[in-house]
Amino acid sequence: MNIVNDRSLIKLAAQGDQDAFGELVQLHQSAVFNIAYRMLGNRRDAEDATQEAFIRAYNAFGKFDIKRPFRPWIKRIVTNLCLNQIKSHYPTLSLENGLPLPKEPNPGPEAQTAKSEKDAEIRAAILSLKPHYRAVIELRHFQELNYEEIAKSLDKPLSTIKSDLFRARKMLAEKLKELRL
Amino acid sequence: MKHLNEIELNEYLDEMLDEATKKKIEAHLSGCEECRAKVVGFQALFSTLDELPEIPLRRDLTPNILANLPKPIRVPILWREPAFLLQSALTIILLALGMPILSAKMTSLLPATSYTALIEMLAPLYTWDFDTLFTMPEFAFSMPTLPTLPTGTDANTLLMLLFSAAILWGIGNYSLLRSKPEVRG
Ligand SMILES: [Zn+2]
Repeated sequence: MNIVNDRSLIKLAAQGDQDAFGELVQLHQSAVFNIAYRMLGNRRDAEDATQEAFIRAYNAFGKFDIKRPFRPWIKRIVTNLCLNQIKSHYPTLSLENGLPLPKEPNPGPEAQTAKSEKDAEIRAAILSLKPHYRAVIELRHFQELNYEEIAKSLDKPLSTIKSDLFRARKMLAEKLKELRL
Repeated sequence: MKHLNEIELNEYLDEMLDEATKKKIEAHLSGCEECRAKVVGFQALFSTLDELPEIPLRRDLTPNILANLPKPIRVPILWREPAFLLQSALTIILLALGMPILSAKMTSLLPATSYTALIEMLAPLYTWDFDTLFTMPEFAFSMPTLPTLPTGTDANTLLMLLFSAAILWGIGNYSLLRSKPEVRG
């Protein structure tokens, strides 16, 4: 990614230039979509969340320091958006023991090889975690934030993040062991 | 020695430990099968997660996103608006015409007593000895010589000017509002 180009696009977009904003969308939509897809588990919801995140970013440009990189910011927006979504839709009954794992209704050609079967199962295992566990896994392993950054991003104490992360990893490891992955 | 606790294990795996603690933990791991198995298990999980590929988008979301952005309102650049230019020119002309009349009227409208009262109020300022602090530069206050109108300076002319100014102001504003802000996107 060209950072200089990114910066001039941010500047223009913050001034309301929608063409420049469109270019920012093109540069980052795939990364944003993948976060949403890991957290929500299906394409339709992930696409909706991606669109929503970019629209929110556009409307919040006033609060954004345009000297900072765009990508971490938009990632944070989509992560929190997805987290709020799964929290509000998450059933009170725990999905963690034995309920069927969510699967994409239309797997498409990429789901045909053994490798992508395995990938789908890993995704399903992540999706079976409770929202706050799913969030720490996403932030630590996919967005590679450190503990402090995760705590800040989720607005939780550091100690909570540490114990959530440990439990999330433990559960995930057990699930994957069950699947013999 | 005690087994590694959750936090130690986490921080070791995330490489967030200082050298000394890291060495201590590695020393324990070399002698403890149980903790080593835990670490290996987690490391396997980490690499599984690392290897999870990104999935491609099936369509470009840009058009949809752009279509849902709030419509920007283009603020007109004032000095490029003919109506604004016209109004400015008219204001200047009317001021040039009106000021002499107004200044002539002012002296007769304001009672002389208020002038003297004002001057008396300000008198202490004039008599203050500034020389002890600094030397005041000398100012020469004088009204600029204003052009005089041949048509006379009565109240009727002033009213006519104000009336025409109001009409022109109205026309100018009407045309400004009619030049609708351009909506893009
Ligand atoms: Zn041990």
